[in-house]
Amino acid sequence: MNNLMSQTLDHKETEQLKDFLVSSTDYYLQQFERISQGQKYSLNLAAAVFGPFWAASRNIWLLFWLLAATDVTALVVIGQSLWGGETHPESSLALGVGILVFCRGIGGIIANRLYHDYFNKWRINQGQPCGISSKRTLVGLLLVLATYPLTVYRFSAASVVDYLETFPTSRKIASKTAHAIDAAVDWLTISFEDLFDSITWAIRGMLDFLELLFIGTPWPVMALLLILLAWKAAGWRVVIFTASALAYLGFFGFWDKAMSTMALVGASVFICLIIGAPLGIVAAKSPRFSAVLNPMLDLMQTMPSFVYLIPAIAFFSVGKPPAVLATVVFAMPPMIRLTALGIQQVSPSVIEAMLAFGASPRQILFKAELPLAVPSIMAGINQSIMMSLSMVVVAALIGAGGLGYDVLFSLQHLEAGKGLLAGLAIVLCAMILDRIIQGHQKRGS
Amino acid sequence: MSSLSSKITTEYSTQNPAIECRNVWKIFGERADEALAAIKSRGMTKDEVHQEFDCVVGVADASFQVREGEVFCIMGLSGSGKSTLVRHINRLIEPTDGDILVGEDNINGLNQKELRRIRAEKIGMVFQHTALLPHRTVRENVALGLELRDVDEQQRLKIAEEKLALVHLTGWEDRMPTELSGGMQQRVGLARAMAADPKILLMDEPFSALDPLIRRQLQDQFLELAQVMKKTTLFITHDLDEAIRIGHRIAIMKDGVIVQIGTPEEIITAPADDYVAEFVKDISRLKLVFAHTVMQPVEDYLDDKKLRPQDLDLNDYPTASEDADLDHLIDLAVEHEKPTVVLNGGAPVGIVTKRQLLRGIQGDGSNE
Repeated sequence: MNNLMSQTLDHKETEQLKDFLVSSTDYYLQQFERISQGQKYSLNLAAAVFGPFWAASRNIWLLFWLLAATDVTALVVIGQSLWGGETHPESSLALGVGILVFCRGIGGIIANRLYHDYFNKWRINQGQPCGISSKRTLVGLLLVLATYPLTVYRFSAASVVDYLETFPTSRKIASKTAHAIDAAVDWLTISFEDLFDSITWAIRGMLDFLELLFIGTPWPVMALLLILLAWKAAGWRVVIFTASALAYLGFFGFWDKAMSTMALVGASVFICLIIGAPLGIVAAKSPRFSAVLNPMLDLMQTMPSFVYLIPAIAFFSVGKPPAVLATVVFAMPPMIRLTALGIQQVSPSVIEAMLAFGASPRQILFKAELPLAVPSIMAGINQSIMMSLSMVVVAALIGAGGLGYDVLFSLQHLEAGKGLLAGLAIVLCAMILDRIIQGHQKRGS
Repeated sequence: MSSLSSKITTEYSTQNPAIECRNVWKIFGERADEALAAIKSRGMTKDEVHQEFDCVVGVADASFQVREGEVFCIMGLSGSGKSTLVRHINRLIEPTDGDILVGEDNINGLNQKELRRIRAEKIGMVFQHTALLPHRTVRENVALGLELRDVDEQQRLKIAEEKLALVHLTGWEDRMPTELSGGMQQRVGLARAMAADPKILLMDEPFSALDPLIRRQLQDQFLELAQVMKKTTLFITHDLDEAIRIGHRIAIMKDGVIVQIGTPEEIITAPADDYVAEFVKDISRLKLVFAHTVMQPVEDYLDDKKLRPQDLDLNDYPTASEDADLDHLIDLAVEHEKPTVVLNGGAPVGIVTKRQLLRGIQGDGSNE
């Protein structure tokens, strides 16, 4: 047999294998040799008989959990036949034993293959555990003891004690915590009333101005301006698209609402820009700040958008200003992220050159970093606009009005046609803005 | 011996050095100070420092002086610390220890404001990857240094045009850098470095990324410019040929240590160690080795031939000056039967026989 070894495995590899195997070396040397010669499957009797314990002892946890799962399935079937009160216990007993034997057999057949794969991984990083270990076998045993009996009992016994079926809940904890949050919100609302009021006032002022601009301007002027903008930024294709989209908005009676939505989106994106861009700059410069900011941005982006309505209503009551704020929270993360990304992407050699010519940090920011980050910042603005528009319907829930309200209204009154038309209007608003901004970016570069 | 080398002699003034580095150390890593102390007290090697302190030695005890108007090359392979060393001159990198003097100023002692002023007014820099601002035109790029110093727009753009004319880029002012070829971009980089008319030029492998033909063109153009501008230049390169073509003197770096400083001829004829010798091996000596290195003293020659000094009739012999290169000596040897007499101020100081000439071309220790 050792002669056979030397044909394909060199001495060093054999030594390595012995280090890895520790016990039953002869058997595994032979098996690994066969695997490397292309015979992929052979039955490992120890693995078949001892199942998960063999896998645990050899540190192959994938096989451990596979075998444990099939074991439990088989045991549940056997358990149901023994005390489940079935009419034909013998047949399900046979089924259970069949499953057990079959799955253990499969386990035994793939065991050597998996063990060989593990050896290849171990060769790369020899710090990993190897050989056979009683400690791991014990861990495997404890895991089996912790999972098998309860699971088998739960599924096979005719009636089960209550606390196994449902999690022992404490309603008190939940309600007390919620009350505490309520109290905190109340306290904040009262103590910072002036602050919240002034924020509301400022946003309302901005919105009023924008609405006056968008809705107050006669529609032919507004349409002409948008078409000119499209032509300047993106060429005649986008002009055709914009003109048809505007015609749709007009003929289907969405003009005023679309303009009101645009005003809302405009206000939100403006706030996103003036808060988000500086935050992005700071995040790009300070790893510590960005370490704090990043989880918050993740939270802002993952949180279902409806949840933003809660604090918005709590602090700012209903109406358009809280809708703008909820939209801002939802739409700001990409603005911050893309600003930071744009600044970080500026090549270090450019920064070095700026330094070498005596630039101050401020000059570096304004003369190199920000101009070079403009495409990325524009992408951030675009993202913010799209996210603001996607928030339009949700914001309508707290009185944002505009196109979102139409969608909401038809949802409540089951008017599918009207709802879809309003939805299409929102999509067209988004596309007009997107095409104009993207066209502008492409022209710029 | 070095004072005899042809390119240099006449151009130096004897004032203070324009740039001086005194025992500069740069160690990268959080425990750089500890590592430096350990190196100084215990003489640890680079690898030991890396193991014990997790620090990397970038520059080890570098000292050199660059004279006013001199082109000083620092040659070394990648990772030898040459780029790190040059960044100490304008303090893009702070040294762990040691002093850097530029003219009267101790660079490490400056505050941020003074440092920015020195960088803007005294030291121009050219980078390997040009590092031009892609969103600005060529003209605006060249004017950058002046803009940072708040020179008014009309004036700085006018200066930029002048400098672009110097590097033969007139007509390209309003292009964007990406529209230019690599060699042209690097010339823009050079014009930008010269825009503020600094006394010192730092050139960090400026021609390394270019293809050989363009590189040679730029080297020639730079040599031309250097002769007119007379700027003190620190020129970094990994190419010994380039260093020899361009430099008055060359410092050779290996693993952060300056192994040898000397004129091209000194480096070629007397490499300090095997490492330098390995580099020098393939360099053609014909234009770099001079008569004074290969000649034998007149007395030895006369003794050998049992001649008296008055027998040496200069009319019979071909003559050459001490700084005639091997190329010229070969011409003389081909045309004349007799050995060449080397003159210093009209008086014979040495003789180059055919044997000495061939040994000199060979360069195998024939000249001691």
